[in-house]
Amino acid sequence: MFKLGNLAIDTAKHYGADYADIRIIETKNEDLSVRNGKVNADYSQTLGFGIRVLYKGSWGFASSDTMTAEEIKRIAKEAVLIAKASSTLQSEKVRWAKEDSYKDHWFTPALKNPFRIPLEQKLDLMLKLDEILRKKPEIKVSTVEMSFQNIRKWFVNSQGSEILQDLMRSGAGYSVTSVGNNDMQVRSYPASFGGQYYTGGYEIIEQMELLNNAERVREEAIALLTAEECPEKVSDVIIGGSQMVLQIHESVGHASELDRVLGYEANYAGTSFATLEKYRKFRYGSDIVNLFADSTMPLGLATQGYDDDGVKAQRWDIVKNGILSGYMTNRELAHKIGDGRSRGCSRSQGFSSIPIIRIANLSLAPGEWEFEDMIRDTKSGVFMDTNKSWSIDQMRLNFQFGCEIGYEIKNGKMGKMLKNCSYQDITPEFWGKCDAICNENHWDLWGVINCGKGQPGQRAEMSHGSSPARFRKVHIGIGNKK
Amino acid sequence: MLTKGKIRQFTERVIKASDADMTTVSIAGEKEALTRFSNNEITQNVDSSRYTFSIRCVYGDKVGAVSGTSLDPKNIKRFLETAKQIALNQKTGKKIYPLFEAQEYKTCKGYDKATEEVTPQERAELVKSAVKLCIKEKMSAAGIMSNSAMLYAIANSKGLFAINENTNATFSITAQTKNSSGWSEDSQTSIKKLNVMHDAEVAVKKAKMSKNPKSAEAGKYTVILEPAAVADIISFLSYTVFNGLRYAEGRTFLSGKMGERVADPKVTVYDDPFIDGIGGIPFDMEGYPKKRLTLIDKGTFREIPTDRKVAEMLKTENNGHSLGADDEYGPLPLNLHVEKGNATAEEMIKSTRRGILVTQFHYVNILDPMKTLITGMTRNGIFLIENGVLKHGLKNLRFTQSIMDALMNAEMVGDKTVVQSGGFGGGFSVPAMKIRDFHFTSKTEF
Repeated sequence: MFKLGNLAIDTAKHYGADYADIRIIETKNEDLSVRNGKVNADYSQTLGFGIRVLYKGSWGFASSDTMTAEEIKRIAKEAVLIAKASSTLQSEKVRWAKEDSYKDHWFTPALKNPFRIPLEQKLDLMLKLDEILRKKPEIKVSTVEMSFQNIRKWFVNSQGSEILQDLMRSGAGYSVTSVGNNDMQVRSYPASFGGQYYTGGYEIIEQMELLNNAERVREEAIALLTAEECPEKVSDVIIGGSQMVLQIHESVGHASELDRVLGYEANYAGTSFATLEKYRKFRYGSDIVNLFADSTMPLGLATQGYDDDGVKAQRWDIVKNGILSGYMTNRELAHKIGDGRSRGCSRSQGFSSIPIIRIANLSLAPGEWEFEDMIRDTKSGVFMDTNKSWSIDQMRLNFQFGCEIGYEIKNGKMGKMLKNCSYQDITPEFWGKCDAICNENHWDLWGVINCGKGQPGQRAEMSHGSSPARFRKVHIGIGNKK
Repeated sequence: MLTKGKIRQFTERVIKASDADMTTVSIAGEKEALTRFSNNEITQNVDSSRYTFSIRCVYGDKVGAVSGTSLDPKNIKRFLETAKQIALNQKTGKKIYPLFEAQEYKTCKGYDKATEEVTPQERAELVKSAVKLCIKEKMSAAGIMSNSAMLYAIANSKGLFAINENTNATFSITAQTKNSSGWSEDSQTSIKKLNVMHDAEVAVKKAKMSKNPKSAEAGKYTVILEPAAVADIISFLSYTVFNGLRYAEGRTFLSGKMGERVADPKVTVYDDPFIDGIGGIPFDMEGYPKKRLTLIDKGTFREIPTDRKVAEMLKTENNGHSLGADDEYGPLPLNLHVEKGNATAEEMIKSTRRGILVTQFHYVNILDPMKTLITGMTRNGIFLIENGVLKHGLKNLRFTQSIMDALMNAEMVGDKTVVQSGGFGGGFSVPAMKIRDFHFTSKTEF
């Protein structure tokens, strides 16, 4: 593959490219689902390449799924032609940050290759779960999912890098939909929207305790049908770890993508309030709020050896002691914040997509509280967890998030179950209200597999770590709005 | 894109090589070129083409499904073997419906060769003309100019073969000042129908008009939703309210309400893949002919999308909305078309004593599917209307609103529909709407 890669680089240079890189990507997926007892098993395999070139400081990108030398030469030439067209409307030449060249083979640590685990074994577990989940008539839909992905990516650039990465990802989860009392409710485990995902092998599925939680999840879904509606009021809230993921993702992750900050997404995904004049000055949250990005973190979905610009994986601060302290950057834009080197956040969905800045693994550092102490310390409030719905404005300020389940907290004790829980606030005000974060005993890493951005649209995966955290005086509930 | 003959040749090879009891092959192909600009310069320029094939093999009551890229005949044997192993490694079977035999289809007109062949230089020229206007007005422009061609084909071992091709050209632009923005977008099946300068002018005008926006308090307002804003909320009806399986399982707002009035009589909603420019496909993902549905007829709920499974559950007919033989999500209307009314944009504004005009919504999501309660933000041009005139721009607001309640509160429906293609058979055709008691729940400072 490296031979084909170097052919692309040589061809692009022949047609005038100042810089060129190619990613040849082979992807294997196994997606299994059991819905109300019915099995769907889908295996997919894709192979193709994308060539990116800089011509006089302007970009061109072209891709193909035909893996021949002739096609590689044709696409390399096409990419240069596109770059030439781009150069006709250019006010500033791309400044490409320096990075060493690497010759490396990096792979995800995985104990058990999920593609070698017999299909029967995986389906047996899924069917067992389905049986437990559907034992009560109130459950109208039960969905159990398992998904495995293996990506082999060959990267070659005109600066001499030749990198092969072998990335493995495994995930599973289930959800149930209960219907009754003129209502419909959903409950999921370990997380909503497909479950929990990590980089690694089948050992991940074995550690998820899927069977041990099925009965509880089913009963919670049924109980939600007759639970009280979350009241609309200003209240203290304790947000559980799996909902904090979404909070971190939407209100810090996207807000700190440097391309958004600079207006590159202004027509589509939006911009960001975290503009450059706020860098290293702006109070993003209270003193105890520390958020760090880490592309080297074990199990993280954005964990890899190198990004799609050929930059080695790193760890850095985004919010330090409540102050905005970093951005997600790539080689093209790192200089805009005075950095000589990219943070390595450039990733693409696949061979046919151009790399763009994506959120790295981004986590809230653990605090000092035990969960039980935090509840005990809360006189009146609501505990909410597991994301159900999300919405945030184009500058990442005004958000409203819904959760699958909640519990009233009264005089330091968890009380009755609440349904249709939601909370709404303005990003820096909300993080400023954070006065307690649980310690590392309650800290987990959660995977996001459906992050959309860019035109043409691209999907990316990343993880966010968090423990439950408390926020004072937050607007909760949507009342009886119609 | 590949010719119909080459696509057919690949499907025939797969079916011939398969020893399954039933074999189905589908192919989705896309050639997409897109020039992206921001801060008045081109920032991204891409061209990609890819084909994805899916093979479904049935052995007895068990199914194996595989998919891949590259229609290289060398791949066929390996993928068929994998599909067979997946099927034979399952202990439990499921109900298998027979394959459809060859069908006849109506035509969806949506392919234009010139649109497929637009060059990067031509896209750059169009972008330059629009950006020039924004520079002249001291505004910053961001947007896209794209052209694409898509094909979807399905064939099976009972002799069915269906193929549909369409093209799309889209220009979208956001013009920005220091404290305001305006947006306009046009999506057409042919590049010839695009009017890039018109969109640039609309975006610039909206950005100018909404400069130095003022705050409006949260509360109930009469709103005039421009077509893009209507599409932003109507799109949610497709997979929630009008999902045939959810309906049959009692999981939608409409469950049990067939024949009841669910919207204002001014509202009629179809699922219609044959609307010019909507990018529809005349058959579903099992190759069954798609029927145009009248979902809401003058405010009354009349029809729901079905496939064979849902048709059985509801004891009705299959109307060709399957998302695939093994789909568990439920049949959907992919081409919602809200019938136009007779009100001009000017009449809507003139008849409004106090209200808000919305250009576009952002990041809309569902809070409560049974109530069709959704939330989202306004974006790129929101204006206060007082005594029949646009007064000034407003800072953006969050809304939290039941879609079906909004349709019940429709006071006027616009006299023009705007088509938005969603790619691969999806798309909407909607007019502007004036709606009373629309609930804005919080504000923001920009």
